[in-house]
Amino acid sequence: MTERSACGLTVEDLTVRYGETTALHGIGFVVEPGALVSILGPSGCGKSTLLRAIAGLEPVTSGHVAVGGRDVAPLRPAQRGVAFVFQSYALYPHMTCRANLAAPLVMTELSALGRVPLAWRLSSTARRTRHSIAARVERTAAMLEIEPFLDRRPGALSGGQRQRVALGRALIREPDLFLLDEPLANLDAALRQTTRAELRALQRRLGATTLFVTHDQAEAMAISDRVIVMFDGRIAQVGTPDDLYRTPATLQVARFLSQPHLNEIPADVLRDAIGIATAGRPIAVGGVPLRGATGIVAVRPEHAEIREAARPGLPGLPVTVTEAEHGGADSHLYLRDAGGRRLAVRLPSERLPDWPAGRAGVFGFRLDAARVFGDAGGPSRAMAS
Amino acid sequence: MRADHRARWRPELATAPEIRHRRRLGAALALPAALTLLVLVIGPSLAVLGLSVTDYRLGMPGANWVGAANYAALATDAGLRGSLANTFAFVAVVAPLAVFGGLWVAILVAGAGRARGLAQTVFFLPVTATLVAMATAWEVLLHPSFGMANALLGVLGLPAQRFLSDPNLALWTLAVLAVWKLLGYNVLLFLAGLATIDRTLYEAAALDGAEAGWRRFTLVTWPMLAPVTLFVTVITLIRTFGEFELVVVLTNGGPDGATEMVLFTLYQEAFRYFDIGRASALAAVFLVFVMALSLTQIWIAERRR
Repeated sequence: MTERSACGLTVEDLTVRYGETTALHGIGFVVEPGALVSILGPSGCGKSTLLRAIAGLEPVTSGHVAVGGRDVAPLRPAQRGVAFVFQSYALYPHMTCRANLAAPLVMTELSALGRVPLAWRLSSTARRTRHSIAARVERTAAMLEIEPFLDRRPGALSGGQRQRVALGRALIREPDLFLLDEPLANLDAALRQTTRAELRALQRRLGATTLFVTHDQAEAMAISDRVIVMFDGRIAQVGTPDDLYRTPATLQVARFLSQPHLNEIPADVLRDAIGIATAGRPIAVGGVPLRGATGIVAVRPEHAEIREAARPGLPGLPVTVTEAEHGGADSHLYLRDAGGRRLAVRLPSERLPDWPAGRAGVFGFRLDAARVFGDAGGPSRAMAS
Repeated sequence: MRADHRARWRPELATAPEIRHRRRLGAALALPAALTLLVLVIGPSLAVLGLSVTDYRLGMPGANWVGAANYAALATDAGLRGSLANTFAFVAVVAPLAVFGGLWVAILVAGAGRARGLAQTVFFLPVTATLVAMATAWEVLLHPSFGMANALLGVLGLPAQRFLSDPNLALWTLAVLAVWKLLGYNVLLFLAGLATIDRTLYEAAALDGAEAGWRRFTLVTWPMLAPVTLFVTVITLIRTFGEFELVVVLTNGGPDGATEMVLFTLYQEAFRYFDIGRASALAAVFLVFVMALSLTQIWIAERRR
């Protein structure tokens, strides 16, 4: 535990095991106060389990979790100072949105008598508390612009409106830490884009320490201060979106961040494909001399190109166009090389007609943007880019 | 694509012959069920209503119109009035115990972990077992001289009771047995209801400060069980109001009419005294009661939607 360092969240060596299976293997990381950190990973990587363990909804096998510098192990979920937004929103369907927003305050701040319908009027404390709760509900609703439907039940609202109410129920408690479990997953694409921008703006304005779980790499990259990439219950990499984009730690991370496709070419195949006139200067791929490199060279489609002929002195793989995938301004062109490998390049859509299916060309890429990963999957050498 | 298109009936696009054809087809398909309903349910009910305003007796060649006399007898005849009073007292005790007891047991059983299957079976046993057979066991248990119930009372230093032959006690003995009989069914319904509650609601409740006990019950469990509770309440009321088996098997209405209830009296009037007119009036009252309950349930369920 970091001593009194006003930490947002500290997780140390957290392990969660269910019988034989281990969901989380000794996870450790720190979230600075006011930061928005995403946990990114494919389904089943343990990211939701991690979030639920922090909230106290999942029993922890070993390790420490501290929220705001306070060890939360002995605390009940409601006492941990965390708020949770569920993917399904988990709003109470029988209560109006107003009552949903008030629920956490009613449950924690009112006495048993104060919660009884009508009878609460007998207690002056309950009257005062109820009054302040109503005011806080109004304030939260105004902030999220959900006042018009406060008196409706969740069932009568759209997905976006429900999402806001769920967010409101989290905000109203003024927690030390927000835990969001794929809060945008149930929204349609357009709404997801605007909501994530709003969410980011709100998070900045409130300075709320936030842990955000998602399986959507674009979403994680777009809104996070830092991203934690997880596979199989382990952290694969922690870094800013820029770090992750420039220097993915492993081939697996690179693959996950370069969806829909990452070009992976064995280094020796590439060596054989170097054009004529290689003599003179040595070729370096992502800072590693190609001559001695082993393992896989990974290239994103946006750093690759297709040409009619190889550039002299640079690696160029002969390929055939198999299909195109129109993506608006930019498109993906899928290729196949002599070895049957599937490759992809990104190019402006207006150039698509030049490359019909079946046409032959040469696949090339920006040497400085490519990375070499050793056979084990890690980078073949530590490097700065 | 095509089949999908054809499957969707769009009245605004249909031509007049198409609509006629569709109506005829619908009527033809509904006919068997409608006829069965008419012959087996609506017809007999109307017949009962008709007979209730006559003095028809089984085996007599004809009947005379007596107006509301049979209904008036329900209010004035001491026997019939007693029967109605017994029934209401019985319902007032049994229904709440069977509903809330069922809910309580269901919540306990749901949290029982590994013992859950066993507990469920034990509580459901009275529902599956034939009451007539089980009644023998109860008679032994409740026997005034060698019954185990009295042995237990003796151990506790309490005087022995004549559970089924004491006029002040017999109805309440039957009430206890009725709760025992109804509980398993209600437990099963509540367990089914509990299983449908979204787990994340409980998690949200835990984070909102209602992790367990009464708070969690009032915030999530009870409101989410409301539709099931409504159904269980109505079913229990109807079954309690129509209690017949227990009376016939254990007390035969005695001692001295202390356990006579609506259906038992109806049976007596019709098949012992052959007074079909009176029996029909009683049946009509029973019918109205059941119908009112069912309509209330439908009305509340619709309004909640």
